[in-house]
Amino acid sequence: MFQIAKKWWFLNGVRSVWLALAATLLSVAGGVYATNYSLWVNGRSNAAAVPGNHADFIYWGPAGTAAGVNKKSVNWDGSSRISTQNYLVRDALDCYCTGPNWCYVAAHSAGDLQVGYALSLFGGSTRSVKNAAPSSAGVCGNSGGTQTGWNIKWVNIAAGAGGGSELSDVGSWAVSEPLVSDLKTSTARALYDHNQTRSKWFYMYTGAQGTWYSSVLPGNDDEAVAYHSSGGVSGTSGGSYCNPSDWFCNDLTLGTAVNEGGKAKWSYHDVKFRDDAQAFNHYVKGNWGGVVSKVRSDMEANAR
Amino acid sequence: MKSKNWLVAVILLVVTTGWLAWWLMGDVPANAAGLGTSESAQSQPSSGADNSVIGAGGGNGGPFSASGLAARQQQLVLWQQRYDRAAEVYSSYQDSTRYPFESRPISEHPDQVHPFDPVTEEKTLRDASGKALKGLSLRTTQERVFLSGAESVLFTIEAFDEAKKPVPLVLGRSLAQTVADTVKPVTVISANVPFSDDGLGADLRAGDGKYSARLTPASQGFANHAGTLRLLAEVTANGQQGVAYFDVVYSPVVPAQWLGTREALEGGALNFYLKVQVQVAGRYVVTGRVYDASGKPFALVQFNDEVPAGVTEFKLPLFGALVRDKAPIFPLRLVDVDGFLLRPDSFPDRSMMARQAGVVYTTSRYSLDRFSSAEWTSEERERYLKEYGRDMQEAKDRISSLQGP
Repeated sequence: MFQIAKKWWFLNGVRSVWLALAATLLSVAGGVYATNYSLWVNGRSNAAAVPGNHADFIYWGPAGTAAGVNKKSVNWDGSSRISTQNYLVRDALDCYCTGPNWCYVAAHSAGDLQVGYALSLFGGSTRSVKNAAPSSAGVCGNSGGTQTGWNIKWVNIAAGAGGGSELSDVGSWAVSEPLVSDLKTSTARALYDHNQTRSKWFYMYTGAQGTWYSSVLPGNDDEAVAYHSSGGVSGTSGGSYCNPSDWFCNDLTLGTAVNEGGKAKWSYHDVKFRDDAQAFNHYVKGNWGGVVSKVRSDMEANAR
Repeated sequence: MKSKNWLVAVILLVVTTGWLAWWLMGDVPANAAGLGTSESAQSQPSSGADNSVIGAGGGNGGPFSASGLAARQQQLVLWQQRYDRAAEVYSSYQDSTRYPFESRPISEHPDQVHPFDPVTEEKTLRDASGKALKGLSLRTTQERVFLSGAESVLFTIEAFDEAKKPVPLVLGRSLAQTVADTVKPVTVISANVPFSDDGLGADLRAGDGKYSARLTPASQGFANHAGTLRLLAEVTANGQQGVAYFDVVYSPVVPAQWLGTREALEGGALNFYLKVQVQVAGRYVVTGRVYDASGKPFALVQFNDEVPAGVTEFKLPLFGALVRDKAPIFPLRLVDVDGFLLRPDSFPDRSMMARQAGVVYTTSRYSLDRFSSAEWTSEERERYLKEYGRDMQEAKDRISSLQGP
């Protein structure tokens, strides 16, 4: 038995070394080769992270946790206006999602607004192809050439705040924080055309464990955002959407189907996970927690 | 030449060794969805290798052991899942990019059909501390969120009880004021914005229970302020006092003026050219809706590009294949056009152009056969279809491989 295990260990090692060597040689022989990356875009409150440091996963949890191929942390401050920090997201997209390289994107909470804003308003702009080697400020060097938009395979959103949060409307969050003004439901929904993703899918993961703010957040919520936002329900204002078990509230439907009551989702928004068991809340808690745990699993399995 | 031979020899050696190891091990799958996989296993370049396949097996059985077969089955499920997603992504991208992103079916933009409708919100009435006042709700509207120059914004408030019956309101003080949009202090400017239900001024109908107020920043002390203006209104219903608040984002600058619209049937598409006098160069985002002669909206047309200062034209294309597919009744109408100068990395991030509400332009009549039925092609589209197609094919191949001969 020991001999068999030893043989497996040896062959396993040989195969890993072979893969690494093969990749290196391909790089040398071909000049460049395609690499996929997994970009993680944080939500509100990220003061401890260093903006532009793509290796800093303090917002999310242990950096060694698997969360998609070649994962990078797109750190913005999580407290300023979306527009004033969006350059950090665009810089990261330029770095890793141009030329031969492609990206999977995962975002949490207000990170939904950041990604949606970048794609809707800048998604068709001319981008310089970058070399995926960022400076300490998160800016990569040009590797030659330009292209239209970024190379993004799909986007996973955990507890998305693209539709804003009523906690911002009622002043439950510090109104002195600039981001809170962007999270007001009417403002968040007017920031950009949420349907304009340039046909990239936003897979929405919702949480429904919220109880504390149930009198503020309509329908099901994760203690920070309600289903109208995390489920990508279209419109200029929010609404009350729930799990099917709630008979007194319109259902948030799975997938891309129109919600009960007739309200459509934003285009290219697909509810992949609805928290029917009310088991997931909004909070990452520095350990890939809450709804983020579902997105992390999906990234590990499918962002490769 | 010599170094090239050396490189080829090394490649051959590595390939042979690797193939041998692979063959000896078989294709042993891993539980890719398992928690706690080490980062090192995730940090290899994606091309040419599935990391989840490597390092599994754990030494407790070969590829044809019970555990090996179970792991293979698990891997098959995973690859099927990947294939399903890749196929969905590929086909939806192929279908949707039949038209360019600047010329879309309006059904794809459900909340952009009537851009100038007021934002209507229903919310529980709350006191100044945020505490809900039992049994009372407010319905509020605001005419717009972003405004520039001499534009104004209309607000309304009405109250309801739990049975959705109107409740008489008493409006107290209502004040618009500047708020900080960054960490920098802001000069506090405020102005009274009185609500009324007397059928005068901003209020449309006296005594209907809907109180109205209009804020015109340029003439109410905010002419030099760019940023958020917050309107707070004290409201009393059923003897309980609460607060309603609204945010608008104001920019004193109007960056460009509309000068007119023309049409041109070009290359099998109908293009709307909106002539403008641009004062501030930069990226402009302009959106219009296209209705057919029966009054049915069917297309959303957009411009998003950088322009210099001076007289120029924004081109809003109505793509030929979209016209052919939707078969609208001519003449068409360009309706409800909005536009703004996007100011990257700053706040406010935009300066609005004047709204063009209603019918902006009516086209000539054209027969459908004058429009091209060809689908959109571009480098961007080809790049995406190639990559998405590769993902789909790879998943398909892995499934075949896992299913075995």
